[in-house]
Amino acid sequence: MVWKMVKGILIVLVLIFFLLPIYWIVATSFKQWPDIFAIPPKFVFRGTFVHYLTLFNIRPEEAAKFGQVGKSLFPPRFLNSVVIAGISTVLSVALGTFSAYAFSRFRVRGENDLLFFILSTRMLPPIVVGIPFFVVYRALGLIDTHIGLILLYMTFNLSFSVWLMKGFMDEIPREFEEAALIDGYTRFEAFFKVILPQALSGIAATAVFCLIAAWNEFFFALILTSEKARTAPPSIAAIQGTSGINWGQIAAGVTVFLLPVVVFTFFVRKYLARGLTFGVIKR
Amino acid sequence: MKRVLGIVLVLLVCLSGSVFAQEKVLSILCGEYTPGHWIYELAQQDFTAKTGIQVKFDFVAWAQYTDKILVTLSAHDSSYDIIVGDSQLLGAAVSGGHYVELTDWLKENIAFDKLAPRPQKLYGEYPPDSGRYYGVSAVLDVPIIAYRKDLFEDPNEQAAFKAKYGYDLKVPETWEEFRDIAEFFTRPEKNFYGLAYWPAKTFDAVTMGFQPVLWSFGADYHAPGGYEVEGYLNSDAGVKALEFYVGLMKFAPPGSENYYWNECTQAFSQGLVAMAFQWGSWAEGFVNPATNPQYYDKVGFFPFPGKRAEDGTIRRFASHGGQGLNVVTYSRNLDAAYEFIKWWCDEETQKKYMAMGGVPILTDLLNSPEFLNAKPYNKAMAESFQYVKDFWTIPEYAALLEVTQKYWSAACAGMMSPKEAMDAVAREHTAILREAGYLK
Amino acid sequence: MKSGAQLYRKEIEEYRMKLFFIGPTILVLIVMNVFPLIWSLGLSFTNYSSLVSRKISFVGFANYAKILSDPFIWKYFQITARLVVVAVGVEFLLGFGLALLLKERFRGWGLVTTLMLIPMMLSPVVVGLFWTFIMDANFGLLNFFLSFFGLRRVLWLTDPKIALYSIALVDIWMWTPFVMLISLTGLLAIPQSLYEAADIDMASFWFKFRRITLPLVSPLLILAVLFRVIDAFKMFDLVFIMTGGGPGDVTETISMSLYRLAFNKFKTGESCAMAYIILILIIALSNLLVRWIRRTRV
Repeated sequence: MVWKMVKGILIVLVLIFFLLPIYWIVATSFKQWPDIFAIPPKFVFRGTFVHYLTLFNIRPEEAAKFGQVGKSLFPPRFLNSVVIAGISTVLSVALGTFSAYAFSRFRVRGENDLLFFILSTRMLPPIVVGIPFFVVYRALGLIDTHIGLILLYMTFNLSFSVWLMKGFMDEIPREFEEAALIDGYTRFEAFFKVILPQALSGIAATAVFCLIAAWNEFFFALILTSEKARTAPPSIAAIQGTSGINWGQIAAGVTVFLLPVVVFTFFVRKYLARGLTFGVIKR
Repeated sequence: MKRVLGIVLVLLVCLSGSVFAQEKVLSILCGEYTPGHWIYELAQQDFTAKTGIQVKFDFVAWAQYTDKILVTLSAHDSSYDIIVGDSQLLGAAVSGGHYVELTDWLKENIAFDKLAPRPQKLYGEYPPDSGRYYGVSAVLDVPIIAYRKDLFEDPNEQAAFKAKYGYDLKVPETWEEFRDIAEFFTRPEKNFYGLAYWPAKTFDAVTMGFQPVLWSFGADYHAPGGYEVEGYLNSDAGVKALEFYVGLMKFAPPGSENYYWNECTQAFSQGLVAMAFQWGSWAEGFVNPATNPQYYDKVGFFPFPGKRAEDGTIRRFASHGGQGLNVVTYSRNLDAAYEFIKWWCDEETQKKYMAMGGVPILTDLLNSPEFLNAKPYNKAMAESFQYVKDFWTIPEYAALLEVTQKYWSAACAGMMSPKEAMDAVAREHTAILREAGYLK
Repeated sequence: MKSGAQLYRKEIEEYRMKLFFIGPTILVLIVMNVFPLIWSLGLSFTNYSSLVSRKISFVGFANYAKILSDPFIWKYFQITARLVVVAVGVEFLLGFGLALLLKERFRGWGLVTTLMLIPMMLSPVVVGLFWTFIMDANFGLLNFFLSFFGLRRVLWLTDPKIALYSIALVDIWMWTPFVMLISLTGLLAIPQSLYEAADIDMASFWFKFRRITLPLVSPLLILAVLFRVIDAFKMFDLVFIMTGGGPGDVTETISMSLYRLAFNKFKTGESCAMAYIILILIIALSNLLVRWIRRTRV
């Protein structure tokens, strides 16, 4: 009983630590300019939707007051983010799951080296490969295209996806597909019909991480695009008015941009919880 | 027959190619700030109407501005026709052949003599004093100081100041007066401080803030006309200058060691400080009622103070900032780019730009009463342009800047004494210059 | 007994599966990574400067020698190491602790775990911007709370003794949820039957933790740490935005220094050499962790 209370208090404290800054960002998005920097900080304030309205070009005249010219570019770039991050996540999770299964179940020649090679692709600081990527992309005509960024983000996430999925695949008992094989399934059928459903919780977790990484990638989104395929993160960071950082509008952009990922994670949680049930059957 | 068909095909491809190229969209890369937005707005209204050429601006946050330019230029990319480029980048970009030389074209196609000569040299000429131009001035910029007019003009404050310091409270002309005023207004018990200035490590903050002090105290980065650093930068005058600059920290808000332009505007608009350093191109934030609702009508501006020489004149200096228009070598739209520069240098355009709030690039307009009165900060800027002096302009400037940023910000944060900081900078500058072959 | 033909068919099937399942991944990684890797390796032996040079000349190992003999680089490596150890260490303990706390479900469990993940859903640039704001000495939320409880204000980002740990704090805030989620998924996958069997033997809580929980969850836990170490070693955005490496050079991490070399000084050749030195270090470090994972798998 005491333990339960202590646990409850601990969870609340931890939640406060993780959520207070988030609350602060969201609150800033509803604050009028002077309230944003008020000393002491304002927890109660007269809210405004103006930052959201300017972000979506509903009230451009308000944005003009802060020195913004022309339309806010947020809506089209947000759409780009959805397309690019979404597709690249699906691809890297799919490829990662396949490879992880094969690594987990079969004897692969040079398995350890291959796995380490996959991991090492994540280690080079991105700053140095910026120019070579640009050079290749320009030669292939991939600059400022959706496909270009999708390919890139898929690659970036692959190492993570393979390694994490392998961790989950190793946990699924071999008896599962052996039973299926005896029942007359082919290997491929056994994988798709028996293993994949068992791996859903791992897939969900991996997808969440890949989505987050692709959703927020900044450096390559900036240098490899100029207009058509530019995603939202570089343009959120560039929201500035006459006096520098336009905190209210940046906060509004961040909040809107955060929502899809939170919603996705929330729905995927159900699958994460499946871990409980399949654990019981195991071994 | 086949050959004829082949030729027709090739022709068609060429034609469609050229048709494609004729669909003119001029693409410009620019940092994210108010003057950039003004140019964009003006170009859309005026330039497109006159020439039929569409204009597209890519505004990039300053934190990523160099990254973007560096990658596009080093990859010889044609995405951008014009870059609103930092004058600091000029040397490197010209050495690499990334900017088109405009010297002859400028003299033939625009009224070159009308361009304000000093800015034009700083933003367009490389190597310095060579007479070769790779750009025209776009956004003229110089740091100025904003102050609280209401406090400076308050009779009680004036009386108290006179009683304490023995002279009148007014806009300071020398660094000593500036220090007194900063000290006078520092009232920690009321959470109010004398000044918000630039001691930060970020970007080029502390260097841009400190070098006017360095020069006015009589020191310099190097020997006159040479590259000798030891004994010039860390001379007595140099050390005194840094002691002075670090000493101002006592009158700045606690924890303001990381202040640069954004933070200064924020501190000022929250009524935390009496004076604040600021780039002219960001000064709009002080007088804009939307961003500075409490004090927008109580702000005055003055140029960086100086040091009184023995003959009574005041020796002032100002850091050099701002950007020029540079045509990219790899542009497939050179005609449109030239057209744009022609339009930009036109007097009519500059008058419109001035009316929006921008700083004109033509001598006549720069001295006109219309300009001086267009914005509250224009007088201070116009005066400061006379005092402008630049940091090192050799291609190694970034390495030299890294050193000054490191040690001077450390001195401001109290991690080392001004003397140690100046000696360390001199030592490392000498090493860099020696390695690059300027010194033996 | 299986017939030879059947065995053969099974082998073919397995072979095809391996090819189809692993092939594309390796192909993608090779195609996308090999050129940039070779390109930068090649340049690391030249004096190429991306913005300035028109000519490239070969300089052998001069770039490597220069970097390895630069006393400052070692200082920056130490700063980076301190940052990585503090940040990842706390993330590891806190994340695993949280996962243990959240192992058993309660009402609102789904919501609590989802909410806890929000910090890592933000882009580092945004996190850096807003934490700078929160840590501001004068307007900031953190100092407001300190003064509310009667404590002295802390100069989070400008006190040379504190700045590095403030950055670590933000990294901890952002990435603890990552470690938490991975260890939680690992914990949830432990068969309940094992605990039940232990309960029958009247095993102590500590025994269960050491003999069941830890061994079963550790491969995933170390994996989480491995990815955190790799990423924290390269951490750039947070430092760049929050302190720019200052005051002085107390927060100058190795990737800040690499950034300056590549993007401010335009020394592409040298920066590639430095990147490879970093790469080798990270590979060595990861190798240790990977071996550890393999050992726990036995």
